[in-house]
Amino acid sequence: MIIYTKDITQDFWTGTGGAKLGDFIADYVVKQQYGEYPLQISFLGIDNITPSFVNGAFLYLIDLFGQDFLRKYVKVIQANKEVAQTIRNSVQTYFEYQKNFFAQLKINHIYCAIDGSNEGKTFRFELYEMTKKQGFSFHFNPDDTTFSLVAKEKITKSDVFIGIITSNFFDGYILEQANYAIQECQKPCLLFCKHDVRLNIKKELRNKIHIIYYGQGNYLEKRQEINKIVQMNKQEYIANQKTTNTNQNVVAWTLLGLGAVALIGYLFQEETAEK
Amino acid sequence: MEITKNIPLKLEAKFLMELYIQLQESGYTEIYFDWINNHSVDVNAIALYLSLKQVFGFKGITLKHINHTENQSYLRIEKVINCSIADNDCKDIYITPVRSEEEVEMLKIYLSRFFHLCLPIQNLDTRPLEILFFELFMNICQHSFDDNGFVFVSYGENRLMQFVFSDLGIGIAQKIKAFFTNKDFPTDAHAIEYAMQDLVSTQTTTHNKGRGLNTLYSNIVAYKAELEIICNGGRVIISDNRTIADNLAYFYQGTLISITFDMSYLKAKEQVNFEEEIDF
Repeated sequence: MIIYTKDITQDFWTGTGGAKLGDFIADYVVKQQYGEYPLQISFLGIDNITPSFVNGAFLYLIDLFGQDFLRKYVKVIQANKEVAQTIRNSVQTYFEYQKNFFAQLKINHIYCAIDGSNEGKTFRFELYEMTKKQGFSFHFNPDDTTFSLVAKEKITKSDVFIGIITSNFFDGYILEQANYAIQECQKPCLLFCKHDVRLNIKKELRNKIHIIYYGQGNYLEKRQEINKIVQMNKQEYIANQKTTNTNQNVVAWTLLGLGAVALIGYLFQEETAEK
Repeated sequence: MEITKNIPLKLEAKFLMELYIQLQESGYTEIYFDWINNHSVDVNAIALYLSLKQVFGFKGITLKHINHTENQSYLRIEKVINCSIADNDCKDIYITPVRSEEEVEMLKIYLSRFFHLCLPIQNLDTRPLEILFFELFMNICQHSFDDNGFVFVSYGENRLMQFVFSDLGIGIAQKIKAFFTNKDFPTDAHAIEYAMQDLVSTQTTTHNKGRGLNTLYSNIVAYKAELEIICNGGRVIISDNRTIADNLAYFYQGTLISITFDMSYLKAKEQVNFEEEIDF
């Protein structure tokens, strides 16, 4: 399918103009569950674009879905030399930047709390292997049923918190740790919760905790959901200058996003395998 | 002849334009500004001075702080020489931050008039200029946290085009220092230089990736243009592929970016082919 950029926007100069194209591509692929072939994005009739436009159109997609998404679903056609050069430069530079940035993040620690159900125990073992291979530094909660001092110490030393709740029997145990991570340690926090689990979250925590339900929806939708949460929190720090170390908080949220994306990839892989 | 002006608490381009017209019509020799001992007026006066200096020519205006008492002081701007501004319809452009596609369209119409009708460059490929213009313009809109920014464009007989962008917002240096608290910036000029590196961004919006100032730098070098960034307590000048960074003797609230672009380096327009493809 060919998408003519001129039909989507007339503003080829700003990030906002680019984002109209980016949003269109994202919605088309995610909602229509677009198939195997890349969408062909035509720049016919467009004299020039700014790097800001490329940010909104393509780098935004990389942020939301990763580099593979762009490779799989997007192909640029009918561009003039300058437009093609601006796109190539921006995308290649950003790929390179992400590679270096992610490599630096591997020294940071992600605390992962998994409940003690059979499903949780399987996750724990397999996630440990997977994250080790991917080079992430995941620290898992101790294999016990009460929130111990050891767990508290691990959370304190980690940069971000991710919890996985597979069953209603164990939600209290994971939520207690999440509460500690948010209230006591001010860590970025995200919970993965199986779609049929009904959580009982304390009132004071409700606005502070982000929950992604897995086991329904599609992988790209969830990935988009995670990254929107990450972007929203990053922007909140930037706009309000909530603390004096904005950059570190932004980096921590980026780490949380990457860790969460790795986990959701695993959770969907498991689901597909079950089917 | 003397003109005395009260500088408004909030400097706006409208004020500058009225002043400019008044100056042109009056054949003045000296202008006095009431400079109340108030920080924001102080800052505005400096912004005004710098803008006028850029707009009215490179040599003609000097700043003389001729009197200062507890309640009142004066900025004196001396006689303007070699005023080189394009014709009345398009000598300058003033735009408030763009928040809608309609406003972007308006901006493009202004630019189109300026680039294609009023300047004798119909056969030149002005796209590099347009990119510079928009990248800088969006900088004001997105990063300055100020409601107004102002932009002046002038074109002289010597084929030099000058853009001046300014806002009285937070300033690049302060913003960089507030965001990258783990880095050490001995001076504001260091922070400006850091901001010009590729992919350095304070990520004010999700679309900011830190390419704007670096794109500016690349174009400045590629087209042998000159760039001066004045911001907070520092200044960075790029000219002849050399970068000079120094400290200001005053504090400039916000950012002023001035670009001098020699139109002789623009290429002639070519037939455009839409044949390129990219597989990522």
